[in-house]
Amino acid sequence: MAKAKIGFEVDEGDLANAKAYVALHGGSLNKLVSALFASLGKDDAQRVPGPDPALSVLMAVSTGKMSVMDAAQQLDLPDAGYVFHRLAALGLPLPRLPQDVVAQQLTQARTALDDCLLVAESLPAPFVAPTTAPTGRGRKRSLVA
Amino acid sequence: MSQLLIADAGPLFSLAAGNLLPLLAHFRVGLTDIVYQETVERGRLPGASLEAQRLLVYYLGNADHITLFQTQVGAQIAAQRARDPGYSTPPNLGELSIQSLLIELQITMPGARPVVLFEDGWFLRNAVALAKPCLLLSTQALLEYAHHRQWIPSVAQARKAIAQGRPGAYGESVVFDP
Repeated sequence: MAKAKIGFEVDEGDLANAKAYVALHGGSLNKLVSALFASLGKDDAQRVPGPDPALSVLMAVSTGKMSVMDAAQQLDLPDAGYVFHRLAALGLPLPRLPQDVVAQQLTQARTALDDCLLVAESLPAPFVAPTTAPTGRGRKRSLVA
Repeated sequence: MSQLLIADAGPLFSLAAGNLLPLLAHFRVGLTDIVYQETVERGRLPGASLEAQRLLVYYLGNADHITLFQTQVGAQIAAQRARDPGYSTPPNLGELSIQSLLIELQITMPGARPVVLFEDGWFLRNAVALAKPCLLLSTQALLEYAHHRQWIPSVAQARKAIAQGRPGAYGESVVFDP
């Protein structure tokens, strides 16, 4: 069958979920999307199966919906360090806040943070919180399937 | 006035994963009893992750500048565990203990303006309910601050080290202050 190329936007969290699924089950994002399209209209039983519960927990961490502490507890791991190991093994990204939120936090907390220092240090240059936002949770990223 | 950087467990494990805990040695740090149990204490247990072991080493090396706080949440959990050793702790316990501490500080140290180092979205979702005045600071923002202080060469490199989360990854990424 002839192949067609399409482009669409997908939520970063959903993309992380898809990558995790592919990492666990093999294949590629291309094949996963193709299989999903092919399954449309068929019985639910024939559709692409959902991820296992452990993977769902890790994906929840990866998308900022669950803390590493709660993930460790749910996965019955000795401590949260192992959650990082599992995320890394699956190639799952860590969540991050939008850069404008981070910049706002810095602006608000900088003086107080200075006051938390053990030894007062002068800043090397006038402090300007970064405001550019390369990527952020919930932003769209283009995916070509 | 000297202030405290109150760290939640998530950022502590993140910094440990990236071998970035020396950054915290610049600050006066406060830990609640629950966060201490979830982090430092885990480093003493058999089978502890490398991150938990690093947290224990960090604590032992910097205990003079780390204040431990007993919280009402911690006391309640201890009492529950005494009654029922199989007691399953509720989620977001570390966050709740920090909220408990913030309320207590509002009474005992009215001039305090603690900075809460967090990672879990729980803090953003519950920001309006937290005792004021406190300031929320994500691990990302702390890394930006550290970069500006020239403690680390780059934020991106530090985040990469945290994300890799493997033993020995980017072990030399932190530039220590003399």
